[in-house]
Amino acid sequence: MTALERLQNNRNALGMLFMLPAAVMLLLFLTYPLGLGTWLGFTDAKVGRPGVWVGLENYEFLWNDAVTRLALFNTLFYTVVASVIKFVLGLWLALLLNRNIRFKTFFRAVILLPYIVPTALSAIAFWWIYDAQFSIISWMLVKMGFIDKYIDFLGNPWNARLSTIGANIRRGVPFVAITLLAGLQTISPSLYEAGAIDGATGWQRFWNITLPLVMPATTTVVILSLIGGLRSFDLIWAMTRGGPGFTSDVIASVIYKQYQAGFYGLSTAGNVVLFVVVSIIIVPLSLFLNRRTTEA
Amino acid sequence: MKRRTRDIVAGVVAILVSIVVFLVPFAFIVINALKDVRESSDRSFALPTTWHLWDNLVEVLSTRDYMLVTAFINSIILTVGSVTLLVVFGAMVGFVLQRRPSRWTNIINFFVLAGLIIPPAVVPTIWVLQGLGLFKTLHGMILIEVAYGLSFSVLLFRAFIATVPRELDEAAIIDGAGPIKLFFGIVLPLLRPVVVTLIVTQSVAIFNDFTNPLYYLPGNKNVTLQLTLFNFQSQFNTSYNLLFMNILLITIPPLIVYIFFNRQIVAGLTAGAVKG
Repeated sequence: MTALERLQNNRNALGMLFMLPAAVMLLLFLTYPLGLGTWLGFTDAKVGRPGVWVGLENYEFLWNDAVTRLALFNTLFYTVVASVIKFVLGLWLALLLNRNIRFKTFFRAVILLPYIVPTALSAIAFWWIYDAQFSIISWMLVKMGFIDKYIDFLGNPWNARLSTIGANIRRGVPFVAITLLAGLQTISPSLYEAGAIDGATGWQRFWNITLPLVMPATTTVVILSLIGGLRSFDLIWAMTRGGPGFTSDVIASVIYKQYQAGFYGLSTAGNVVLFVVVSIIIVPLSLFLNRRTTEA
Repeated sequence: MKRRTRDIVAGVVAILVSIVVFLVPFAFIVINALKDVRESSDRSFALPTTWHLWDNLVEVLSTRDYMLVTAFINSIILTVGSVTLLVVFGAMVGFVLQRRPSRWTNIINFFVLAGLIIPPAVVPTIWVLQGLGLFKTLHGMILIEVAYGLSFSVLLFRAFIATVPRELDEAAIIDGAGPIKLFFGIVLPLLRPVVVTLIVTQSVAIFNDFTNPLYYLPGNKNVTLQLTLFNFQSQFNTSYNLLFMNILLITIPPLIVYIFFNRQIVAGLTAGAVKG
């Protein structure tokens, strides 16, 4: 028996071997950098110079830094508002599509479109829709007589925050709608019939049949939407670069700016903060939602 | 009768809203990609008075020594390479996790989930790549994309392999198939639907990825399609027609995938929905 044949017959060793490539990649490019990054966050490493241990100095700096605090607020605001609106709109669309309306296929295809086009395209389209001089939204509102002056969508802090949220919602709704639709389609129509016989109103049927049974899909959507929101970078970067000033910066864009400026220690400390924020929100929530799901 | 009218009204409203929200921006870009410089600087919704499809196309393609063509090739190599590895590695792990539960399974499951949450630590990752001599190379970028996408791939495969009856494995083993033959010869072909789904969704995601190439592929040599846009943004600052032609060109490949694999994209999106 050659070594190869012996290996082929040893199922445990073979199982390990099957997982080896994946394990190596995850360890090498995710886990090890995370560990190294955590260490780096305690040093004052800059571009071209290995760092010296500075303890919690980077975290103290981030804690006292007005830009970072604002970015943390923006990240949470952006994530919560966008996720809530995405969920409500997505559920509404899914419920519509689940009924037998006309042009269903066309409609589903149109909804899917923003998911497929590059973020860059969405970003540029929005950058333009929100343009101070050429905005189509302003143009329409002026023509309809609602406003007399063009809105500066990206030029002032609150407008910039809300505009980026709008862009995120448009990009995220397809995923929410289609996932919830898949959940809705697993609900047996006989349940609704039984509910109708028992005299349940439309609202009661929605609350007591639809919502509990669509829970697994909801869990997926909520968790992924929150993770995506907390880590979001590309849309915001392409649209505002965190501007005007630093008012629409999120944690991920602050990390990128510090990285670009060469403050590696500070940048990785920011990354650790982001990891902690994501974990604090996602881990308990996913445990909670999964328990609800299995009970339901 | 009343319900019917309400349904029709709801349908019409929904279609109108979705057209405005989803299609108008796209139409905007197409129209302006076909104008000449002067007209496009108005950035209006009017149709072009003269059509410049070919001129704009040639000009965009030839900018900076045909950078867009290089970028196109790079993006394709990156996408094909990453997706191939994602499918093979993901299926292997999913298979072992589902078929051979052991005391390690929970730990591995935890790592797989952590892979979804961990935000990439950029600087140390660049050091790892530099240490391997792979920084700023397409090979390195492929490995990064695989590492970041692996968790999703494993979850998808594990869920699907659970639906492949175990008796099939046993029958194959009785017929004398070794574990390697069992996996590559029997199980992998059965996984075709989920493989197609994974290929379609991950191709689109990796092809459209902007953030990771921005970090790990700086410079002009290995530029990807998404990065060309930002390289060109300053250059085309005054010629919006070219900027929009560029956007249009990099949107075409995902659109083709979208037209032909609509169903698989939906399947990929909803993979997590039913099982949770």
